[in-house]
Amino acid sequence: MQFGLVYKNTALFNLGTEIAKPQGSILVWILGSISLMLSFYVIYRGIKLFMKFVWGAMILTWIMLAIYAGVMLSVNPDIVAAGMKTLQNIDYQAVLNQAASLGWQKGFFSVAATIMAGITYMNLTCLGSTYSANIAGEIKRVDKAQPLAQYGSIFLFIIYYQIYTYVTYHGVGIDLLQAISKLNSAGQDAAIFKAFPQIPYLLVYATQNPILLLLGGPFAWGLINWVGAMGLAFAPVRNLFAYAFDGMLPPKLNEVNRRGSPVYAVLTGFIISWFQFTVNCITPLLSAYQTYTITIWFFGWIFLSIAAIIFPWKRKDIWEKAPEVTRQKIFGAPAIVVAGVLGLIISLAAVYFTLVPSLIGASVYAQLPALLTSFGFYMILPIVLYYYSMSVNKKRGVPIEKRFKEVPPD
Amino acid sequence: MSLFGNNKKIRIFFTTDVHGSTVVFKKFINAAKFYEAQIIILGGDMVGKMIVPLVEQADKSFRANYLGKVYDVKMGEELEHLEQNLENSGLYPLRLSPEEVRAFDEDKSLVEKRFGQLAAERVAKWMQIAEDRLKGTDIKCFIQPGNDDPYEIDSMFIESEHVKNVDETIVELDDNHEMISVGAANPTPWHCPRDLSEDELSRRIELLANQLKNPKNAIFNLHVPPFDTNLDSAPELDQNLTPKLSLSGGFKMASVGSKAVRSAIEKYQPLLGIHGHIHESRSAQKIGRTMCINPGSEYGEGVLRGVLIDLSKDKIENYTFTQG
Repeated sequence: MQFGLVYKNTALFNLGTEIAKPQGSILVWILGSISLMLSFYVIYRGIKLFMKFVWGAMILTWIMLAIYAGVMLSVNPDIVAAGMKTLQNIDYQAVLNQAASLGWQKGFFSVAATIMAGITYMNLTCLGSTYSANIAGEIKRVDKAQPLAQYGSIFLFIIYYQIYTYVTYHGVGIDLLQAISKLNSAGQDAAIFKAFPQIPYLLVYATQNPILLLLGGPFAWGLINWVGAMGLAFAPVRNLFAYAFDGMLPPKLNEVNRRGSPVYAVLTGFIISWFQFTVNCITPLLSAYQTYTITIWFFGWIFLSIAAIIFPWKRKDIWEKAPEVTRQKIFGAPAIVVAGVLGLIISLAAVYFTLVPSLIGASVYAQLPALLTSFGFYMILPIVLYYYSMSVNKKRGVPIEKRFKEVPPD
Repeated sequence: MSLFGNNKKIRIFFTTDVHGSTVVFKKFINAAKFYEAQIIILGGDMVGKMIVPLVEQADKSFRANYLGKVYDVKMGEELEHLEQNLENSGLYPLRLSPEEVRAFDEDKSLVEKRFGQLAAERVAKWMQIAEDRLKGTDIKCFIQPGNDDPYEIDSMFIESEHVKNVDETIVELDDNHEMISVGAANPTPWHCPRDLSEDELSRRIELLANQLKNPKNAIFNLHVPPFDTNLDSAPELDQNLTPKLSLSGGFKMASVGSKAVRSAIEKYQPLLGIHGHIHESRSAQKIGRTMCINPGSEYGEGVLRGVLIDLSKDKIENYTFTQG
């Protein structure tokens, strides 16, 4: 899309617009299917190949930041405004005025949005810290590995986003970013920019150098995200394997080939992902999962937090044997309980802040079908499958209900 | 003489590597009734890893230093509670006077000797628990020592109607299934009492497998898992026996199973292989037609990890990993 603007090539721009379509594009479906195949092939091949991709993405991430920051620091909102005018005949001030007509005010600040963003980033760093567990399997010496992963990912994340955000404010200007956000929520941004103007896209207004655009813009951004998403796919494959291991899914999914790769779990993971992707290419009915990803994550965290709060009493036997660091007390209460209470408050707040703005808004009825379909597919269907599996196992004489129950020693 | 009728299904509960944990052993014995299994099998490694000295202090209290943590407990309930916790984790708490501690420091052979005695005493205690609890039932309990187990414990195994040491023997489970058992393992970095060369291990397995009436329907109860499977993956160690790290941040894993076991399974293709030895490699994998299973071990947490296997005349109806 950016190259289409730079070279004034309509076909190239239209190709980019086509790829950006959320639904109804055969091209998106073909490219997405290929991307999924590649992702699951890498997972099938194993951790060594995947780690090469991760290191490649990591290097590209910092190269991209360096280039992006260099460009943004070398420009200012006036230069960006000139770029907008030259490339697309968009008037910088007119964009601000249109946002203002929708209620945006210069210097706008939202506590709820700030908390929401903070919670989202915190969750993403947690994803970063569990990333290693997903790809490396069981982690030993958690007392060293987890703090390193937790604080390491938070540290990297803060550094990266502080730089990214600061240089964007410097180059593009905070007013334009807020105005675009307001226009986006009203569905008016695409009409002005002829595309969804994500931050990396704005780079084209600051530089028209093709190499800088390639390495610092949406292409590099997309590539990095693809590798990141590839890592996330490890988790469902691991879960499918584990569910089969625990007897909840057919044992075939628990089989590995000679190379030790869980080939059927990988294949099933691919089929499920591809099915979801295909549905999303046709209809937005299952897309609420994307909109409400944070809500769903934190919904799960509510239960995790409650488990942490009751753990020292519910499983006193394990608690007493836990490492010293876990049994430490803060203000007389076990650290894990304090963490559980904090986690519960944050999770409830996250669920509230992610649900309420959309539910009380005018678009609630428009979003309701997608919300209900996604809820049924992602929340209700697994419960149905769980009880179906329990019933099948019971018929086969497998005492599935006793599998994780403690055998009384006396 | 078979234990069960010709066409009956039998349910086996298999666990392994209890390493001195009394609570896990008690759970193992109770597992038969809990999971409704007719046969329970313990695949080896019965002894714990170390003695924890409880040193008597001037005020008659006791001090223990375990894994970097100091425990000061008073004589009576506190001391007994600590001893029980240590025993349930597979350790051997031992009350010592300061003079005895000095003697142990000066002569390490005393420690080894005392360790052997404590291990044997605990096995004897366990045999009595098994006998008492299984008396009056139809449950059969098959036990074998593993490569970690010193030979001192062998005399503690009792031969009774219910409990049998099956190491290097053939047992008929029913009219259709025989089981061979070998508790020894291929060489380990720790030079355990029953570590054998691959050749010697192969010879002992062959000796038993050759006598099977129908190897295709047999169970190979071999403590060490077959080489190069999901059952034998353990952290790779450097020269100081420290785990190596992988590129992804986890431990670098390596196959440490037995080539002799693998070739025996490939050659005879029994119905089932039940294994242990590698605690972190809880897994099931087929080698040809043979389903090989390692239920893993979590004895240190007092958790009984096992696998329930339902056998019909000539096939495995299903297998289910358990964690109790």
